Amino acid sequence: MLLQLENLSKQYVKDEVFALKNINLSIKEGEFISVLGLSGSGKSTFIRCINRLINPTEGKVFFEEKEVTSLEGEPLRLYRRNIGMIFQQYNLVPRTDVLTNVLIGRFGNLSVAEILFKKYPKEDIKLAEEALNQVGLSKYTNRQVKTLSGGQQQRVGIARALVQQPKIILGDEPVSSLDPVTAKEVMSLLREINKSKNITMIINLHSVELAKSFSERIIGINTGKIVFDGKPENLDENEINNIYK
Amino acid sequence: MIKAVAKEKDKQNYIFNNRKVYLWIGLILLLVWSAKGTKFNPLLFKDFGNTLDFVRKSFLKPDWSVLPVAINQSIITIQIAIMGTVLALVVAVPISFFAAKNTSPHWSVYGTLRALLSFLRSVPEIVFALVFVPTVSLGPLAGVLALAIHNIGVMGKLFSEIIESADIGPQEAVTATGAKRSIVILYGILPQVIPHILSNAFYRLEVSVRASLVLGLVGAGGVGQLLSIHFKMFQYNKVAVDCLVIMAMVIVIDYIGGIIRRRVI
Repeated sequence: MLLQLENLSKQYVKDEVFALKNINLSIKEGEFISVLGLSGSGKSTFIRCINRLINPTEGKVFFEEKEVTSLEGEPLRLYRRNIGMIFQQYNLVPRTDVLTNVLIGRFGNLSVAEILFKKYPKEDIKLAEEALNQVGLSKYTNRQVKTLSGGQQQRVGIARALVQQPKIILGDEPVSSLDPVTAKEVMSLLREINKSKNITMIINLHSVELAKSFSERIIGINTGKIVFDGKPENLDENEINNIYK
Repeated sequence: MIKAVAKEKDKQNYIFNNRKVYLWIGLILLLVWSAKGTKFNPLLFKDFGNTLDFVRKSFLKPDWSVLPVAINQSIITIQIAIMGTVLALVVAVPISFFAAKNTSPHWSVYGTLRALLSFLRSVPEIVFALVFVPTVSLGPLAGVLALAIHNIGVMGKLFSEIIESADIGPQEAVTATGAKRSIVILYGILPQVIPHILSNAFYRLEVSVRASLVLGLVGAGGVGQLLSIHFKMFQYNKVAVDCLVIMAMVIVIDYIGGIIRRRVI
C-alpha cells in the first residue's frame, strides 16, 4: 500500500470543531483520486496532512508502510521530496523566470550553495526542460511567470511537481481558478501524467462533473468526515446530496 | 420572541449611544487640556499683522547672493540623507528576518530584536546626533550616524512586518518540495517582499531629507545648519533664500521618490 491514513483527525483550536475526524483510508499506487466537498469541509486540511504542511492532531499517516506523522527536521524534508503539490493560486515564485520556478522542484535535492549561486546540476536542468516539454511550455523557459496566463501558470506548477519525480501529486483545487475549457485541459494533463508515469494523484475539486470524468475513485468529505468513497459510477444523485448538504 | 430581540437591540443601541457621548466629552476635555498647556489663545491672533510685517520686511527682499552656498549645502543635506538611509537599509534587511515571527530562529531572538528596534525608533535622531558629536565632532558624519541608527529602528520594524505578512502560498509550495528552511525563506518569501522593502526605503529617504534639515540645527551640517546660522545672525534676507531652496529641494525629492516608489511595486 502506498499511503494509509489511520484515524486521522485535525482540530485547529482545542475544544472547537474538528476540521477532520477519524479519517481511515488506503491509497494504492497509481490511483487517480478526486476529493469532493463544500468549501470548509476539510479537503485542504486533508491533503495538507499527507505532506505534513499541517500536522494532524491525532492519528497516523503511513507512506510505503513507514509512519511519517512523527517525522521532524531532516527526515520530514526528505519525506516531502516524494510528494509534489499544486495549488489553486499556482503559488509560483514571483519575479522569477519559468525555468527557475520549475527547478524549485529540485531544491530538496540541492545544497544551499548550489541554489544560492545558481549552480544547478546539468541533469536537473535537463529534467526541468523535459517537464516543461511535457506540459507544453518548452517555448516559455525564460519568460517571467507573471506574463503567463492562468492555465500556463498552472502548467508551470505541474512541471515543478514533476521534476520532484514524486510518487504522489497532491492538488488543492488546481483548476478552480481556471475557465472550464482550460480546467479540462489541465485535468487531462494530470490524467496523462498519472497514466504515463504511474504517479498517484489526489486532487481536490469543486466540480462533480470533472471528478466523474477524470478519476477512478472519488472521496466525498462533509464536515471533516468521509461520506463517500467509491467509483465515479456509484456516485449517484443521493450520494452527491450527502456530500454537499 | 421577536419583541425580545428588538428590545435587546434597543438596549444595545442605548449603551452604544451613551458610550459615544462619553467619548465626545473625553475628546473635548483632552482638547481643552492641550490648549491650556500650549497657552493657545485665539485673541493673540489680533497681532497677526506683526507676522505679516516681519515676512514683508525680510522675506520679500531675499539676498540672492547666498543662493550658490544654499544649493551646495542642500546637496550635502541630500548626501547625508542618502548615507543615513542606505547604511540603515544594509543593516535592517538582515535584522528584519530575525525580527519577524515567521522567519526568526527563536522567539527570544524575535523578542529581543523587536525591543531593541523600538528603542532605536523611540529615540529622536537629534539625541543620537548630540551623542555622536564627542566621537566624530560636529558635522555631516554625526548626522549620518544619527539618521542611520534611527532608520534601522524604523526600517527593521517595517520590514519584519512586511515579512510577516508575506503570502503563505509560495512558502507552502517551496516547503512541499522538501527544500530546507533557509531556501523556503530565500524563494518563498524574499522575492515577494523585495518591492515593498525598496518602496519603504525610498519613503524613508524622503523622510530622512527632512530629518537631516532638523539635524543641521544642532550642527550636523547641510542646509539646515546654514539656515540656523543665518537665523541666529538675524540675516532674514538670507533665511528667506534658504527656505525657498529647502522647499524646492523637498518638493523635488518627494516627487522623484513618489515616481520611483510607484515603479518598483
